[in-house]
Amino acid sequence: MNISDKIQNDFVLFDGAMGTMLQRFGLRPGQLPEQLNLTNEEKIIGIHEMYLEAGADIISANTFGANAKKLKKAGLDQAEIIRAALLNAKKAISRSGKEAYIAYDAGSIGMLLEPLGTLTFEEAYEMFKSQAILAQRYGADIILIETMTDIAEMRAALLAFKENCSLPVICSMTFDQNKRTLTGTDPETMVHILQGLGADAIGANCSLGPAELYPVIESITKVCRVPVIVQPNAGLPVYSNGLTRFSCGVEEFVSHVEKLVDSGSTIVGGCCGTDPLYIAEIRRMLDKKSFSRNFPEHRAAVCSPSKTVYIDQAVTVIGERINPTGNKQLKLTLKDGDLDMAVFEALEQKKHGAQILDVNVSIPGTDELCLMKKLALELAYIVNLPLQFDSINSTVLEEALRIYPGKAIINSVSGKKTSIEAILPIAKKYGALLVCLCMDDDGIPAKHEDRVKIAEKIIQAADEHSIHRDDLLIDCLVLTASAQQKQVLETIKAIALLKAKYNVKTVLGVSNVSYGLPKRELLNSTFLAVALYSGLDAAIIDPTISAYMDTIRAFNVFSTKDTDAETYIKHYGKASIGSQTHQVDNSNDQNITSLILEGNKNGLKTAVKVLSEETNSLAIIEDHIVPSLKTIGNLYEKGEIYLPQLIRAAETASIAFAEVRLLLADKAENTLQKGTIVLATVKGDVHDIGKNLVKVILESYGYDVIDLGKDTDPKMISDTVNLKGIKLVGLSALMTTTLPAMEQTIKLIRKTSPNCSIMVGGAVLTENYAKTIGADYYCKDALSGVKVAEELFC
Amino acid sequence: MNSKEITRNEALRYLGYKKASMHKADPKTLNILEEALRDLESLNSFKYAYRAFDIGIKDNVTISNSDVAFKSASLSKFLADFKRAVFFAATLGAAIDRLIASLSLSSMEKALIYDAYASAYIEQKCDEAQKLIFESELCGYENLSRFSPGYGDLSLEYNDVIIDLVDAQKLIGVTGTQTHLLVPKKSIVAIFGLSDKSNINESHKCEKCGFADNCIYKDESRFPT
Repeated sequence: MNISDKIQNDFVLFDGAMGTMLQRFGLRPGQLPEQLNLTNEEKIIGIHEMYLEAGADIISANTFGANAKKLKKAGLDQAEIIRAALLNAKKAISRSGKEAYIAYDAGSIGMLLEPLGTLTFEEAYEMFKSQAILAQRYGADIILIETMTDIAEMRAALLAFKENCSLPVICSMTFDQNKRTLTGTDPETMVHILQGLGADAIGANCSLGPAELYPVIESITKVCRVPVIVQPNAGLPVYSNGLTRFSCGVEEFVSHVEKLVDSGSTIVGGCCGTDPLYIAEIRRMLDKKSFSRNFPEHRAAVCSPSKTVYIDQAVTVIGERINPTGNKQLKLTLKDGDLDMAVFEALEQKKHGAQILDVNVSIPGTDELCLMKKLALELAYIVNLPLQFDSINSTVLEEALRIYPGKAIINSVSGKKTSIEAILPIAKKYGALLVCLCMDDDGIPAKHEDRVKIAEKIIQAADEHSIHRDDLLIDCLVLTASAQQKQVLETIKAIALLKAKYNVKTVLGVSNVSYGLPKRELLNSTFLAVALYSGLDAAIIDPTISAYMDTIRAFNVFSTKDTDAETYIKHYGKASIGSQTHQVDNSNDQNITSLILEGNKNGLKTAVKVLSEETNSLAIIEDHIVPSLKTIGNLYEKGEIYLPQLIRAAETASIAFAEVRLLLADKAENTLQKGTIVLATVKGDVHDIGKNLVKVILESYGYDVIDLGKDTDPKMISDTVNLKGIKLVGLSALMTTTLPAMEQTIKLIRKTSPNCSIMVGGAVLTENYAKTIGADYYCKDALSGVKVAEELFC
Repeated sequence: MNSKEITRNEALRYLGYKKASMHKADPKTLNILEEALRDLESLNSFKYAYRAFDIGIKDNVTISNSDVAFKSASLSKFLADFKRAVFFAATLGAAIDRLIASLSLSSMEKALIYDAYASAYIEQKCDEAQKLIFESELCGYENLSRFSPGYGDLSLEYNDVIIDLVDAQKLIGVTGTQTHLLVPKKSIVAIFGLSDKSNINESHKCEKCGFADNCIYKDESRFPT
């Protein structure tokens, strides 16, 4: 039987720990176990032989740390190590005379990928790619990627092995007692992401003992449609007095493993603390069992790195606000490469009940691909809602799906032949769900039957690509009532017909229906209610508009999807009590400085309005706000107030600016441009709190800030400066090791924009050092930045 | 002072307060510090890992029976009285990084205070962990002083060495970047001595760090200006 058939149709027994055995045989601190493949091959072969003797079907080559980063540090040649490791495993099998397979064992690189760390997807991918090629070249039968703690790295590894060798790939991650990986992924989410990418088996190993892994495996088998692997530690490790001890003896271990098998695991083995005795006992246990397997039903699931949303329960809300069309401010910030506003929109939508976020960053003249990738990672890091990538460019869609450490939705494919051919293979490869538009080369059909025909065409093509029908979200499209009034209900009919005929999932962008008419919210929420009744599963809406969320929550009650109206009551039960409280407004008695200092935003808004009746807008800033900020700055420097109060004041004063800008917009004056400043934390540095503080203070003084974020490529900074004719850049770096990147960035800016001034700050910087690396200004604290700006722009 | 108050005062120090001014801390700041404490306790994400090794000290600190060497005069001085040392890594995990990042978009004031509190809180948790380690390593000497890469002349590259030694990536999820910074951000990598003696020469944490000249957070009682 070949290995692929075997893992599908039989119990498979892996070996136990390699590291534990090597330590017993005297592996020294700091020594790489992989080096022993060359220096102590008999020892390695001996360990493999013991596991084969114990009855293992698959032995894992001693390659766990054979990645370029670890080997390079130790001055070892990767090909040589991997060849030796696989050769040792082969020798052991031939000496044992048994029929067994060799797994190439791949572990973590030891660095976190973006968005948590700084390693790029591509860098990680390359490090697994070289392993994939060598694993196949030197005779591995199967790949085991194990003890992974970060889903982003696991994805990169899986893709690299899938794309660069033809062996089956088993994926196993390590979980904590709170049933999550160390970076926060839960077992169900892991399964959906990895089986979407085509993993051949999925499971858990290490960290926990077999008893503690039981709830993890239960969650996995509940949703996993490929064989499940489990390789527990021999109990929880306890390190004390120089030794690691494992709490679980052979007998206890095997009785737990038997339970894990009964709950659906078919591939088993041991991790840290286990040895051939454990494996031999598991063999005896397995040999008495008869193999059976029962995969759960497919479910339409989308995932962020740490959350799964199923589109088969209550109505799914997809937030539409991350879209530059019709949002001028968002368009401007995205165009500058500043992601903060987009992320803020994401957080706001989440707060109001969005479950999935549509992300569209298409702006003429900007690099959509680069922006989409950056924003996808940032949203994955901060917001924790699954994403729906919205683009007409299939390269953008594919690249975003490739790096996104989750499982997303593609928006969209249409009935056009070119669209189907471009998009379906991508959806299949990355396990993405698909928004399918009922339109083709002839546009949107007027009649609902014809829209359903297009849907049928896409459904059929998806079948041919082995894309599960539940992963299709058919969008019957709605036309504007003001222009094509008679066609509005065709959409509703199409949804009903599709539901009756195919029971496929449906999705709809609702707000188009009201375009050009007054009181759009009324039309949208009424139309939404009707669409929901006809079977709509997911709505693409603006969740910050309460009418839409109200309609959806109410419908979930009537459709019994919200059992006992629990969610509804939780949301509205207390609504009548106190949500309308108004802050007492005594702003007229207080001066601007104390309002700002106290963080009284409402008071300040009122004060600005009052002032605007007696003086012009600019005078409010020049004569009231800025002097107040200067007073507050002095208080800070004298040690009368402290950094948190300074920042609170800055955030509050920004409200005044927003107010004044509104007033100016009315009068079509636009003289409030004090200057634009670019801020960035340099390449390699992830500490951005200092930079963020400087930003808040600069904005409070009325400067426009383009925030390029952390770990910023020097070229991106110099390009932005050059392109926008920026006069002042602020760079931050926390540690000595990232100062070279700061120097490099300064050099690059000098080359392309010699007239731009550069200020720098960060914990290890000094006035002298700032000069040495060529900066114009050294900023010792958050307030110094604004002094530089005031000097330069006045 | 109980440990909660010490941690709060450390956070205030990171926020720019001096010993003499802590009593007049702003009430809103104190409220947010309380909130940060509650959030950190409910996250309950502190984790640590360590290994104890016999060490040899000449110009370098070496781990006995291995090729691991720490080229650092400051560390050699710090460990001069010890024959055994603990190599230690700890973290508050990725969740607090995420929380601070999202706060910085809605309230920078809160993000700043949470950041300071988390920095102080992990030190407190490390103190607690260190006491447990002293207990389980049967160590009579109990001084909570730690030495980290970046102090004195011990270069940041040793972050990676210690992470590997204690298997910190696998056990608690602490990793180093290409620039040897720690991720998650609220993580600590350190070394401290184990001994049954109690008459060991102490140096204050600000003295061993080596950046006191420039540091706005230094303990001013040790460095009168």
